[in-house]
Amino acid sequence: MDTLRSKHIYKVKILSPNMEVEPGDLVEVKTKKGTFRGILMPKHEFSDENIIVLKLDNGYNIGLIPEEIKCIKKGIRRKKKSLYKFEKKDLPQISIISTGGTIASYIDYKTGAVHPALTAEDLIFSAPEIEEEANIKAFVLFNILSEDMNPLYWIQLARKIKDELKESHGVVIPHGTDTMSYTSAALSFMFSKLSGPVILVGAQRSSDRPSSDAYMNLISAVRVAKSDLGEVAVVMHATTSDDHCFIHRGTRVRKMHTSRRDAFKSVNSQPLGEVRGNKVIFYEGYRKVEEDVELYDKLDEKVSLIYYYPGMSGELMTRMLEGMDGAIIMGTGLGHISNEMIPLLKDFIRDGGVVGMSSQCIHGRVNLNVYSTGRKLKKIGVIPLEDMLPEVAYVKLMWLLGNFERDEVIKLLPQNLRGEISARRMIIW
Amino acid sequence: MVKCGLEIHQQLATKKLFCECNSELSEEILYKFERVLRPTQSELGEIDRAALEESLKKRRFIYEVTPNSCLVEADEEPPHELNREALEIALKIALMLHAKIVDEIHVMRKIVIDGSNTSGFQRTALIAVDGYIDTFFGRVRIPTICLEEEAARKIEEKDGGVVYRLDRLGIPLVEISTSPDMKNGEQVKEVAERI
Repeated sequence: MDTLRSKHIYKVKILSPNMEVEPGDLVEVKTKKGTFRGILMPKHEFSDENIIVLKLDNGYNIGLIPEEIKCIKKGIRRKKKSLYKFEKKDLPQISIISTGGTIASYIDYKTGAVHPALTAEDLIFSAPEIEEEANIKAFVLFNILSEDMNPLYWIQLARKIKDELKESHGVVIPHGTDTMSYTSAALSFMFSKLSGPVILVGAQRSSDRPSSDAYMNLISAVRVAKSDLGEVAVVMHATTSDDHCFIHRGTRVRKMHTSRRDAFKSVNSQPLGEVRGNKVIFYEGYRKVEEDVELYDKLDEKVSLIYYYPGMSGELMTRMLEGMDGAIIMGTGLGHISNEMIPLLKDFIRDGGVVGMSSQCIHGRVNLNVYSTGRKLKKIGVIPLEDMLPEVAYVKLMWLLGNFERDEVIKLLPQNLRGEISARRMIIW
Repeated sequence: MVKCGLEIHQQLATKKLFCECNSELSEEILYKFERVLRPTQSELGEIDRAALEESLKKRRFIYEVTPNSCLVEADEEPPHELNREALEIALKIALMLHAKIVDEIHVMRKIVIDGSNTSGFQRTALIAVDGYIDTFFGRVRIPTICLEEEAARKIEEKDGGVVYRLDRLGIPLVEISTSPDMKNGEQVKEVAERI
């Protein structure tokens, strides 16, 4: 990720008498320590501002303080295509809609630097074999970091998916991993019917390394997109080994590790299935594709997601509720917050706000019947959200408030609509 | 006339170069995992599909996890900062060999896809250039001094994969390369011993 953020721009005024030099060019650099020859590399973000980085003939990169730079030979630039289409008979068409992130990055093989994929060609570059799997129609919709995703992008993405499903069997969406599960939840709720699989996929190691998980994740995602799954799912490595991927339901998945390949887990449920080599195996109970697509694409952004902690002030809670139509609270344990908060929530609900309770334990079901605080919360109208993930509940409430009347919202919030809530939780987890 | 150069690798007894694991070998296997390494575009330029498939066949690797290997060696966590102690030792060596230390040290990746590095590359940094050592038979030039990480230890090769152990992966290594300036065995011995 770091390299994606670097701007590749030198602040130091490069003294080049013959012509302008850019990263990728073969240059000769005069310094106090002697003259060096090599390929000018993109600037490293942590590099001192007086330093330029050079790749020497022996392959090593070094930082130098230049006195003069001479361009010996200009680097070669690649031509770009914005839409990539490859057709082969008897294969289904799959649309790849790129949104950004590590998976949608490619390496510049001249300089070794990682760039975000800006074109469809860049996207396919890392895994040309997917052309054997399907007729790929690939394009870049957004090029944003996962943390910059927001509800407006979700709506644009959903509309694009609907368009693509008119002619494609399924859709694959390369996405940054940080907020991929929010997007998968949002799409899950927005589509009440799907005519093809909608598969989100990411990578924890960028494709500039031979050990990248991007390739296996992407090809597995394409294989799932060819199936009869009528749901939104996330396909990522199942374990640290490169042997199989899990297919996670879009409303059940959560990033549970900052860096591991198998960071994505289905919480409070089993994955929908797995991809092993070219076999896609569904375990049980998934929704199949339907004839058409039905999209409810409104979202009410006035929803807070509030993480309660000991010492949280009533003043802060009041501010987080101000001007909001609803709030999801991540309470402690079975779904608790300090008694000081209860009158504040009571006022908010009386004034029309909707409040749902989830747990910061992430695993397990909330229950507001066991302790007195829970019972008080229930009495003032706080809705216990079963075993729904807090982030999923947050997205669901936005979607409900955007599309339904308040009474309906209160009724549907704790009901299972897209597999986000289950009645049973298993001993093995 | 005999012409001879040396490339000397010296392991450092610090913590590992990019994590806090101990630099030691181990016989205790805690866990095993399996990976495939894929050539990147930097290696192949334009990808030739047949060559790609061929290379993938030979690239299944089994890694043995030891108590002195963590997520960094498993390529499951970004590298930590370069170990200070190892860097200081490398700089001292560079000064002792009269080498010019570069203005800014850059750790870079040397692509290695035989499985000896879980990442598919070796992290290495050029520390200094243009050093020398004076011997009884004359001056021997030392063009480069590098600080790099040691590779994983190859345990066995079997059908469908190579087994590596992670204990050795990441141990700091100072690499000193001389020019082919040595003229006889005595001189080679002297240089090797002095370094």
